[in-house]
Amino acid sequence: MEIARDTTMEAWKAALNKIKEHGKSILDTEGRISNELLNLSITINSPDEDFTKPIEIMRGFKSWSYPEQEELEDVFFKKEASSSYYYTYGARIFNYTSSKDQIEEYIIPLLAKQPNSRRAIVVLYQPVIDSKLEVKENPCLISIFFRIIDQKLTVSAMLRSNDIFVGWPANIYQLCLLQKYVAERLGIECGSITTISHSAHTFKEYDEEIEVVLMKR
Amino acid sequence: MHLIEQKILNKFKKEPLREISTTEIVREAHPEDYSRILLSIDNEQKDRRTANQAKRKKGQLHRKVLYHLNNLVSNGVLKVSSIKGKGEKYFALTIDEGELVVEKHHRQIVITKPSISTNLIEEYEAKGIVHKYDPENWVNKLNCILLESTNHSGINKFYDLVYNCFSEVNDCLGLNNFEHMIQGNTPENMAENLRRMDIDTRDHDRFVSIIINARNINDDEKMSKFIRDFVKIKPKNIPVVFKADSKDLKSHDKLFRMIGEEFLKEEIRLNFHNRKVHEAPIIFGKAGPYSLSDEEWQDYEENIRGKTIGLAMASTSIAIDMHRLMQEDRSSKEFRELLMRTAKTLLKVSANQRKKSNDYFKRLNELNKPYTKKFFAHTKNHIRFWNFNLKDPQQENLLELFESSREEIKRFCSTERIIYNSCGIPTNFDIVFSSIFTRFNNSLSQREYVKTIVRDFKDYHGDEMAYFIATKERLAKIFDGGDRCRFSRKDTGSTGAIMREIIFLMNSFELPLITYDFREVKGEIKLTNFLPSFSE
Repeated sequence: MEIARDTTMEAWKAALNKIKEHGKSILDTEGRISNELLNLSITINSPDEDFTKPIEIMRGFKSWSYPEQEELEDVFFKKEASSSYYYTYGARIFNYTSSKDQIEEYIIPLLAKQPNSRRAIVVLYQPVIDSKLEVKENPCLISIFFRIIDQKLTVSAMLRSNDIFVGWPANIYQLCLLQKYVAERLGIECGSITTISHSAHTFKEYDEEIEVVLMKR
Repeated sequence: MHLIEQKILNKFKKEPLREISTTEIVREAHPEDYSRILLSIDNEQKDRRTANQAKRKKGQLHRKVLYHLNNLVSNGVLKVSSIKGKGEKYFALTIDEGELVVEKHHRQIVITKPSISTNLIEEYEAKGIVHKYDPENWVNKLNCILLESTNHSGINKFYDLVYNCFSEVNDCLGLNNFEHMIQGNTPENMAENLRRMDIDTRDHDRFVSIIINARNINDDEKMSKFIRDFVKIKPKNIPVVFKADSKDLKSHDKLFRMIGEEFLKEEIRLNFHNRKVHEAPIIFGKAGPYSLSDEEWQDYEENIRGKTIGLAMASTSIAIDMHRLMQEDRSSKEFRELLMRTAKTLLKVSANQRKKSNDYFKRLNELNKPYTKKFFAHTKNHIRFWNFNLKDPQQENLLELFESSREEIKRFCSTERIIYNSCGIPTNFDIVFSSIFTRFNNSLSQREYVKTIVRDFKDYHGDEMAYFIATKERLAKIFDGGDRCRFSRKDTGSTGAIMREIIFLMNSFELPLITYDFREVKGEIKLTNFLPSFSE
């Protein structure tokens, strides 16, 4: 199932609508009722225009505290994994298995040398650590693929499990910052961002808030 | 700028939120000299002269560093934030938040102190309703750590770890399975280390709970010797908690009679942790008790024990003075609103702590590598309640209010964990309710609740006592972060009778921790009078 829109807000609302209309109601392992679609692809053609908007909206709700932008950036860009987190995306991207900075040592030099390469992939999932029955928390973001099309850097991210209402705004914010960073290092412009969510879902308990978002212009 | 001042300021630059002791600053300024001095002092028994010289040198270093510290205080950069133990000064930055530029003789040091917004609870703090525990260190130190004795064989090395952990907590440590140390070391060595621990806990103003797992006692003689030495030393800040069930007590009947007798004689509190009701250890601090859920404890026993030095039990505590709150506004809506504000504050603090945890808990990270995450897997934030009186008709629904509020707070924590997790920030943020001790701070309201007096053993079956115990049983379930039921005794009888009562209480009631307090023993010793109370 595919969605393609020009702005982040349009894409977010379209995805929430799609799940609302076509999602299958499922009881998850923690007893929460979710609406779920498999393999939902969401493309934002010009994310730069409004990529912070969804997290601003999420921060505006009084029923919960949404993470601060600073923390969202920290966990995505810091290579040192803090002892307080089970894992961080930053450590997986910039210090994979404590030995490889996938952006500095691979993506940037590769695309600088071979702009047409199809090999520019960052992997976050570590089967040796994550594929264990007793592991309670493992990353939702599995891989990030960079590709230069028409002199613009596009990003495609694969997510195994993706709460489109709560988590997707943060994912887009973080991916957009990473895209900007890599594009700047390569001296090119940013292109589209696509997320492919194996399990794209929303939870029933947020139905009211989802309606509020869908009503926004 | 003098080199020592630079070193001091760099220490504060690294840890701008901390209150730092003179000793720690001296160690930072003169690391090599200080470790040589410590080695020589530890050598005391072999060479008294060298040890005395080392002590003199230590004094000189302290004076030298204090001179520079005082300079920084006069210049308005630092302030004396507290004086603890035997008069040791603790220093903190004068600024509350923002940037501090210290410039002297062409050298500039810029220190940034981040703001930790607590504006959600500020108005309640101003009214004395809400109190942070140890505000100077409430972000950069843990409240409580459990250390596992069975990871070590020698008490000397284990005690080094205990000592090192004093600077990592602002309240207390729990020494789990301490019987392993008692039975594996000589009584003389144990007594010597207990003496050191007594002095150090007083100096550092920390508590250490010795947890003796009665099921593992296999050398009653060594245990008796340790107890006799303990009673002789009578450490001020070191409570002993016996983890047992009635069978354990019966199988070491003679030993526990002796313990009862010795503790009674010296008016030391007897703490029995009823393992039949609750498995996770209960640790006593100044702020109150600390514990975990039994599921979390099972995770520790099965997946963590032996891999880490123990467990980080608690990071932050906030107290709510119920008496003052009730005077202000008795509505349950106000109470729920305050709790939610407190929970959101703890969430913010927790985010700040996470962000800087590699700086704040550097030593703990090193000590637990490569299992640091496991060490922090079950760290809790505590909301503690002070001075509520269930006998007050206007507070009669308080238990129900506590119960429903606890559910709300649990839901809040779970929602936040899910939200953070969905955003790629996997955390274990959790809040528990627990009781409080008067040592939490000096600003709590005066105790208002009335103690329940029992004059005879048969009063256990009286209505008042039955109500008291049933209430404590319910509270123990609500206060999943730790609670205890204390019986202050005016008159006592034979220790055999005391043990029979404890066994009766353990078998009959769902009380996780029973404390017998003999400090109010006066006159003839008769087993007739108990003074149970709801809080400390």
